[in-house]
Amino acid sequence: MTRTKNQNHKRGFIGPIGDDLPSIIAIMLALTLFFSGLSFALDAYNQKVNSIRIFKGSLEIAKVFVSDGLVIQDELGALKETAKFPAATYGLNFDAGFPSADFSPQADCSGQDLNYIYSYLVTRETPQSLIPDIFYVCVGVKK
Amino acid sequence: MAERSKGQAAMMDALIFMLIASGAATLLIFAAGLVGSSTNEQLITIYNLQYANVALVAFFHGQDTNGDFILTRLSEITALTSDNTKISTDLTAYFENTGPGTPDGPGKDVFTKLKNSSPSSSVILCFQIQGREQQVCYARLEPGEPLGLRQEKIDSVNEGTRQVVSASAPLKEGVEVILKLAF
Repeated sequence: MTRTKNQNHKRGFIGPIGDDLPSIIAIMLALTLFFSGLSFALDAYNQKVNSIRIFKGSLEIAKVFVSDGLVIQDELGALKETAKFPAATYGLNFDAGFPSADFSPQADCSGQDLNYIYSYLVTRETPQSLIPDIFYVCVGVKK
Repeated sequence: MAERSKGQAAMMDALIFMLIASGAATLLIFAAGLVGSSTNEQLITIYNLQYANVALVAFFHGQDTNGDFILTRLSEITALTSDNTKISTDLTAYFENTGPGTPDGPGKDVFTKLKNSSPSSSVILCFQIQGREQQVCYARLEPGEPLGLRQEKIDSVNEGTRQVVSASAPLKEGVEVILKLAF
């Protein structure tokens, strides 16, 4: 049996799309909700992965300097060279040192966009003494 | 029972789809947050452990402001007496002073640096002496804090009510030194 135009009008038929409009709106809403949720979750996940990568890289860099609990002042340059390898692996920039006239963790690190500052208590070896001192490792993302 | 029209059925399907989609989206957001936070907490714990162990080694290698090795001085303080109160008094004299107006102890500077560099809110240095039930601990009092607060600080860490990360090493035979970071 075929439906005529008049019969359809009697049953409230308003066209192939118009007839399904209420359900299409609900489906569109559901799809929007799902994809915005998916995009939000992916975004949150990527942010977390990125912050974890920075943290993990920072620990690796710090390990080069402080793993012995003893930092020899004269060997700081050599340690910085060694720490360049984990820094490159994780795509990070870094600076490290004892607070001094040449290195101020707050001013120098933020000036170089090294926003993650980690402090450690290590023994600072100089030719004259072995004094426990605060050692700073500053890390930032390579741009 | 009245037969459901085609429009009503489609609407119902769409609503069910919407429910499933919103549920899936919520689940995704929840899972992403959960994975991220647990991994981040593990890394923070690794940093805290790394800090505590490095700081303890610094104690072993370091010299106080008199040029004496801290390890040697702590061995002497814990060696000569069987009285825990005497050890506590000697530790306070070494890391602070013997009272108001008295000169600073030679270990004051190192403990101040330890406290200032620590990621935790409290730092306690304890000694477990063989044959004794209780550990002898030292906690720093800030200027103006009453004397009784020292024991409260130590108890709050030792009672297990706070999250504690610790590192330990033998100081000498029968004495173990434990560095506790309480958060």
